Amino acid sequence: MNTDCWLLVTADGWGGAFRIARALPGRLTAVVIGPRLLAEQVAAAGPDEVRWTDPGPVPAEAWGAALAGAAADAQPGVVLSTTDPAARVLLGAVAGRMHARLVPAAVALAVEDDRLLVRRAAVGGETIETLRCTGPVAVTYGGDDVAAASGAAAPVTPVELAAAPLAVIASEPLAVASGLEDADRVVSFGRGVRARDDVSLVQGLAAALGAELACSMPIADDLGWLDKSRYVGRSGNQISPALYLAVGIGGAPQHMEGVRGARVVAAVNNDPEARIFRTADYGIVGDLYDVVPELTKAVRNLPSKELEQ
Amino acid sequence: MSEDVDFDVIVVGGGVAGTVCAYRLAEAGHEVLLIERGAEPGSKNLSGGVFYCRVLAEVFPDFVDRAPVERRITRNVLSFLNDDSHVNVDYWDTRLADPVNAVTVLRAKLDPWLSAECEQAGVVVMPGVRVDGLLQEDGRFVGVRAGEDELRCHVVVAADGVNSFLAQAAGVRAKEPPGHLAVGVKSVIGLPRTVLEDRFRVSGDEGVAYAVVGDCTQGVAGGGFLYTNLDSVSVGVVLRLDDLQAAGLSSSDLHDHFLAHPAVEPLLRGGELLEYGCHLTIEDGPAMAAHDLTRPGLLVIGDAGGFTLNTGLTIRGMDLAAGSAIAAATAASAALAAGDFSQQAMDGYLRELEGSFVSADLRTYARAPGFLENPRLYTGYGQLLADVLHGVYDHDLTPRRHLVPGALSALKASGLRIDQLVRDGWAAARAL
Amino acid sequence: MRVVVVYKWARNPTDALVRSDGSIDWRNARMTAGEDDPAALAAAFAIAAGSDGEVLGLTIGDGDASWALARGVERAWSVADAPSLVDNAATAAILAAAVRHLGEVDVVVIGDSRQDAGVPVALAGELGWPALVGLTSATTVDGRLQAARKVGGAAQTVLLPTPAVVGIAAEADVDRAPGMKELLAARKRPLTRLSLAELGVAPDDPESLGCAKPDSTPARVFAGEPAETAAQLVAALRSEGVL
Ligand SMILES: Cc1cc2nc3c(=O)[nH]c(=O)nc-3n(C[C@H](O)[C@H](O)[C@H](O)COP(=O)(O)OP(=O)(O)OC[C@H]3O[C@@H](n4cnc5c(N)ncnc54)[C@H](O)[C@@H]3O)c2cc1C
Ligand SMILES: Cc1cc2nc3c(=O)[nH]c(=O)nc-3n(C[C@H](O)[C@H](O)[C@H](O)COP(=O)(O)OP(=O)(O)OC[C@H]3O[C@@H](n4cnc5c(N)ncnc54)[C@H](O)[C@@H]3O)c2cc1C
Ligand SMILES: Nc1ncnc2c1ncn2[C@@H]1O[C@H](COP(=O)(O)O)[C@@H](O)[C@H]1O
Repeated sequence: MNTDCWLLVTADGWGGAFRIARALPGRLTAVVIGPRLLAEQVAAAGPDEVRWTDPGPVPAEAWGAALAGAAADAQPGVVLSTTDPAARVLLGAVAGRMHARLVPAAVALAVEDDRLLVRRAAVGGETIETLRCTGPVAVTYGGDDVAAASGAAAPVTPVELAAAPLAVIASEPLAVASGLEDADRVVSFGRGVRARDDVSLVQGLAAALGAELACSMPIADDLGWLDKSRYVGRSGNQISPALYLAVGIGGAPQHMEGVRGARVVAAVNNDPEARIFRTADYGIVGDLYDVVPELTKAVRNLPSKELEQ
Repeated sequence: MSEDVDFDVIVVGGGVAGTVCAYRLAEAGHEVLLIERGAEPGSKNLSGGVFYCRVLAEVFPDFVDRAPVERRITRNVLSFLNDDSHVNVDYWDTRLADPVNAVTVLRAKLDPWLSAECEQAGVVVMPGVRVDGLLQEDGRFVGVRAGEDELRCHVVVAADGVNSFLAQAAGVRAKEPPGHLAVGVKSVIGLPRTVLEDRFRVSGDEGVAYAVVGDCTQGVAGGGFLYTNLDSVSVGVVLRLDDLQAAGLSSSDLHDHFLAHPAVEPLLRGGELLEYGCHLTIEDGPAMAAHDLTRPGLLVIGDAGGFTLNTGLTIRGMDLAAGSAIAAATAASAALAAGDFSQQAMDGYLRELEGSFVSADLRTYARAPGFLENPRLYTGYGQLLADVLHGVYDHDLTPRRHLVPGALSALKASGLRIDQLVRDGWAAARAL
Repeated sequence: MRVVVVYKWARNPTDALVRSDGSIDWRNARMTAGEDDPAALAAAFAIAAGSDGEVLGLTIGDGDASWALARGVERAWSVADAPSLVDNAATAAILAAAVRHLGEVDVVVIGDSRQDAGVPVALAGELGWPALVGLTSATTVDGRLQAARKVGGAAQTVLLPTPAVVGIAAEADVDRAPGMKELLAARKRPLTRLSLAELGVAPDDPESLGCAKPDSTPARVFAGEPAETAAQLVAALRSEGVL
């Protein structure tokens, strides 16, 4: 089976996809449509080659058809992208042209008996299905984000391709909550907090931890207890703190999408069946009104140096 | 259908009562809308699950063969349960299967089937809509309102269950006192079919129903039940609301206590929890159904009208729901034919009921709720029975006594008095 | 513009349970529209409204196809015998065949769902049309298709040529339960059932070797006295090096 692989990259966050692509025995070609710096970063991870197109101000999606043509010539056996919207559009264009299968949310690739095994996450990652494929296969990566490895740097070959007439006609910066994006620790609360006045309880814990305060979407959107720039999730902030402590948050998949990159997730919830305990690393089953004051106390009692780090 | 209405009849509530009534009316050629607030029929409904289904023979002649029924009940076990003993009366009779008298059902399967039958018959089934109110004009009910929309009809049938907001809004019923109501908590536990058949000694499509009194409710008026389905059992407790509130116990704790009881747990061991739910039911149907059931343009049927009998040994709601639905359909049909929707025309429903098993059974069991209030039923008798039998079977080398003296001394030890026993026995015979 | 909105009526994956052996229990999963579909529908109407166009509904599978009809779509098509597939390209091939069957189409609007992140893009690939996904909304201005999205800390507006595929990712639950009148009207609107044979597609899936639980460690959950559990959590976080 042909395990030559194309990895499509349009933005950061390609480390995990690179890792499963590199695990294949074939030749790994990284196709980067993005700034030169991105192409060089990918090259440093050690693919066999990098084909680079500079899109300038044009959306990378404009190169879908051209890339599909190039793939039809090169005939890679596997084409891989992240879930980044632009990379996915390129993947779809290539898959359509090559009549490849397209398996979403792959977490691992392997070759066995000359066939490709694709392990894919189902039901929000709670189970992993193994598929055996022949012929060209396109996959989106669905595992955790991992830092890019470094390997023997590959050459970066600039490629000129024709673009479809897509154009960005307006761009406005989004309001961002200061500090949340690169905070080391974040304490976040949800509808388990019953009244606006009780927010100070959670605020106290955040202060003790030296953490930024965040919330679930209904707290900002429906209740307006925090600014909209402070909610976490698919539609809000996607953050990667070392510690994410969720208090009175149910753990809806849309919320948890915002903390995929967090190193440690801990949760306080009074429902032992709460969904958040399925994805958290640590949890306390208990009433936040009892637990949060105790947590605050316990943190305050820590030797003060430790929280400075 | 005249110009000014959207439908001849609008039935609110897609439970057993509503579907049966809508089906009947559509079969008689009327334009019927059935509105159910659940996104899927049955998604909000809960029954223990024994359906005394003979009443449906006239509506669906082949009901037992076509409908998604689980098992035909040929064994009934009455179980007196104590802390560490129980006495069972186990009645098995193949005659119960010919004709089929009672079947176990899962509402999550039965209601969608009934609803599909309605569609087939031409009923417009509208799930996912909650009726917010009734339209009234010149003292007559002429339609329903949901959100911003109104739909008009000649007859509204309220089949919206035990809480019947519609009957209350129409001034037919007041808010029910807790003494008329009970709360049921139920689990469905999946077991492989072969395990279930071995464990409960049932085979083919036959099944068993347990009615349990005593320790299962920790003294709260009510009882436990356990019914076999094809490859699952429905098991839970029904507790009288006022007594539960007075005892300060939680219904889900009592449910858990019952399922964990050493006499019950082995029957469920290794099973998988498939469904868990909590629902109000009617404790004193006869008292409830004594309310009005009609207004001009309005008929109230099923649990909404109070048609449930809790005999202590069985809860019968679905068959009475169906019975009242058939009576209401007949009356509504006649009213539509005559173009008369006055109070008098609607009262045709009461006359239909009067001639049916529904009224007869409600009268027969009118004393049951009073009898079931007797605390001795939930505390004393189970232990007494166990003590009598203990005296018979426990050969501890003391001289044997005849059953009667043994029983009398057990009675003495139980603290129950013989006059109470006689009175309760007599009351039971009359009430049940 | 002639707009096709592709929607999905299927079991809700968030209701699915995973058994200890990794197999999936769908029994408690209820049928719902795709989470992003209401937002896709809103975008379809916005595009049509900006261009005096019409919105056609398209779905696959044997579920209730009337979801869109009850929400203002005048005509819908359903590929009733289409199976539910893991291969997003196979699903997309069915949808593409159905779109071609509908004749002249300017825009396909589709929910950009998390579970099947490949369907909208493979659909564009099958049709050979340009596409954008992960959009928050789309509309027509001066006869031209434009879409909004959030990229790298900025809210962008992008101009697209037609025909095109646009994938909408919902930002919140914007579904609105239809009223009784709309539900009755929906029953009168035409719903055309198509078959795979009619469309000339024969989709299949790769061979599945089964499911297994991922080997990630489950959460360590503390229960008990608040003071005790708080101390246990703080200790655990310290040993993780995050305190
Ligand atoms: C398209 C779409 C996009 C969305 N995007 C986002 C998003 O970006 N971000 C987001 O957050 N949501 C998003 N949502 C909403 C999401 O689905 C959930 O509805 C939301 O995250 C729930 O917020 P919550 O956890 O605060 O509330 P709930 O789900 O109500 O959870 C509250 C939790 O608090 C617990 N609790 C209650 N009382 C106590 C107590 N005294 N002590 C301890 N615990 C207690 C409860 O057990 C419960 O688990 C989106 C939804 C849709 C449809
Ligand atoms: C634990 C328990 C065990 C039981 N065991 C048995 C048993 O073994 N055998 C037996 O025969 N009976 C049993 N019953 C009783 C039986 O469940 C009821 O008597 C029966 O379901 C009554 O049928 P119904 O159609 O009148 O009401 P329901 O089945 O309650 O149906 C009412 C319907 O109306 C809908 N509705 C309500 N309000 C509105 C609104 N505003 N707009 C639109 N729709 C609305 C509801 O969603 C519901 O679907 C039991 C009950 C309980 C709680
Ligand atoms: N079986 C299907 N029927 C119709 N549309 C589908 C189907 N599968 C996927 N889609 C479309 O593709 C989008 C993503 O699919 P999904 O992740 O399965 O919800 C949905 O929002 C639908 O619009």
